[in-house]
Amino acid sequence: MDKTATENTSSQAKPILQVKDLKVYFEMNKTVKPDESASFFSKVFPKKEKVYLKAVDGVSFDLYKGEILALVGESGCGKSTTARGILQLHRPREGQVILEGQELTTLSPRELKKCRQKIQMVFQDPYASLNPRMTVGDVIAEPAKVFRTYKNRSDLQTALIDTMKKVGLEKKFIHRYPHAFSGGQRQRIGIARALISQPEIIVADEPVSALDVSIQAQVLNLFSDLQKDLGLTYVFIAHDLSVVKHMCTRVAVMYLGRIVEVAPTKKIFEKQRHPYTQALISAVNVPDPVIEKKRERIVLQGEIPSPLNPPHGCPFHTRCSKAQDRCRQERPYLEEKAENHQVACFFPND
Amino acid sequence: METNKKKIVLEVEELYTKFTTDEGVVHAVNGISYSIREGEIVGIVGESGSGKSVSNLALLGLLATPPAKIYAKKLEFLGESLLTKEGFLDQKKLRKLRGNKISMIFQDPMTSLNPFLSIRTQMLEAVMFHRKISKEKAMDLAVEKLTLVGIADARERINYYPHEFSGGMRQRVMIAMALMCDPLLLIADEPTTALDVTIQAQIIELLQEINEKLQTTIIFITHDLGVIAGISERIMVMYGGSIVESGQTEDIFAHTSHPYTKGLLASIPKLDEDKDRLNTIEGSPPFLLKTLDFCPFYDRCEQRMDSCLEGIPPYIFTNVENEHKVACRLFDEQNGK
Repeated sequence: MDKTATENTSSQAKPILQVKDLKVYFEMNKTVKPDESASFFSKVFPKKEKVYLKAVDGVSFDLYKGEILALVGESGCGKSTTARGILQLHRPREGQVILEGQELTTLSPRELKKCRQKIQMVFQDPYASLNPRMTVGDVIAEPAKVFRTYKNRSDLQTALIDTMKKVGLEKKFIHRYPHAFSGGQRQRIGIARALISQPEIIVADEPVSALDVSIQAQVLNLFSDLQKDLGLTYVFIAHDLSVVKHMCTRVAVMYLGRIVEVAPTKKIFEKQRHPYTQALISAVNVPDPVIEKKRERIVLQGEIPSPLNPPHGCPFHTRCSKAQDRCRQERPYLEEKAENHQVACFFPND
Repeated sequence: METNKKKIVLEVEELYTKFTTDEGVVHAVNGISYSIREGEIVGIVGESGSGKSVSNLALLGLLATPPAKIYAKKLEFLGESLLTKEGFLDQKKLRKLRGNKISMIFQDPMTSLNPFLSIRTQMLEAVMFHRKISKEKAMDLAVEKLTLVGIADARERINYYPHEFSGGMRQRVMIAMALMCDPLLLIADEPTTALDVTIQAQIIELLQEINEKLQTTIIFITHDLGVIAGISERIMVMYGGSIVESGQTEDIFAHTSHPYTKGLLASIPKLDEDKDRLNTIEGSPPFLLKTLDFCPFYDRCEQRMDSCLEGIPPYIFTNVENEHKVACRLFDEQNGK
């Protein structure tokens, strides 16, 4: 597809993970309305037509070792599906996911298992993602058992206790069940489960959005400590931009299944080139009434269009204040508009 | 008691809510007192389990009794008491007010609208109950309210079912529904939590517009200090079933007094600052299974003292002019009371 979209942004090291033109579609049945003259039978059993919900429609990025890449966007923009597409939890329809030179999309489930050890996931809802009938020890140890990360039981046991210590869980919790824990502690269990197989990349899908503010800070600190101590690489999915600013080194903004802007965190918060990013950042609430009451806010009109029937051309043109004829006809691709700053827009802010 | 510029719409004194459960009695709200004046937007902030939603559901009589047990010393709406002689809620009086003079917007618009009924049926229900009004007139009113909250072709779309609207639109429908009887008081319980940031901005703008145009008093319940900073004139911070700090918004942020509020503010990542680590409040919110006879924040407080264990700290003014009140021993001693 587009060359510029997959081009390396930084020239230094080889990326640890490459996502190239990833497309994840969901097949859906749409009833075709029969016309007046149709037979009784075809009115009762109308024809069904296959349509595709393009949840992720051509996403490309490189992930470098030690970086924390944020995927941000509103719900329905495909950020979670992208994460699942990377881990092959949803098999992509097109595109490549290359983990350390290994292409994942064509692997058989058995071969995939080996690769998944290197890339683990932390889920959003700590209440739904832990099996209530397994003890904390079993929950955390399970991936290591599946991947046979450790040679024998005693190694596993030591690793288990070690991992629990790393995430701030006490050893005595090992035989307890998830229901006995609060939201923040459950998320720690989820993180420990992701860590035990000694992964290199952790994909965290909104790991703090279900938590209270005071607990959220604890978990965010844990994430940054682990990153420093273990040299992990994160793909951090979030919708809260102040969390992203605090945590991440690079930000990719998604809209309707596509990345519309990628840049290092500092740059993107200084200068947003895509009008959507600009609106998104202006919508962030600052806990300071003096700033908050003075500030001019860009309130976007309308809502995110349905991915079943995405607008022609630039996906954002229906809500964009700068939209022109070209935006309605042609789809903009990611282009480097400044150093390390890629934007998919025909009329970006300079 | 306060600078009486405007009429007091709602006055609550020592409201208690308890739930009887298998494990014991949960003390969800422990004697909170406040008053709301006409036309203002008051924010109630707190984490989950702090009693912010329950206290409002309780005073509207929306909790099933039992298991809930609600009593108060004083509960007045426009000077009229809503309590029976024994101090419990007067359901008859409340029934006349709910959906009429006081209405409520809930957090999740999908679960609070009935999926089996069209928007029209749901919108007309309350107004037909409270007022003697013909169906046609009620229909016109509903269309007017829908247009007011920014729904185009309201006359046609009123026949839609909830699933045909998106999340933001559903929340608009909820707001229109709450406005049907021109309420004096609108209680918005986390109205933007389930929504995306760009939609959240739209809804907040709408609520501010309603407040300005219709002079509706709004109680805005949220856990997001950022949202509250922009919208409200006064804030009440709740923790463990009590109000720990309250006052004018600017003053709360400029002179944060209670250690909990301070901790909460410090634990939010902010756009305009760079920090390696966030400050945290260690531990987690208290279990409310037993009555606390000391400060509910004691276990997590960095500035705790021995005197904190001697009874619940009194809720006192630190700045009368800005109506800044704090329930903390630190200020108790300074004031020498």
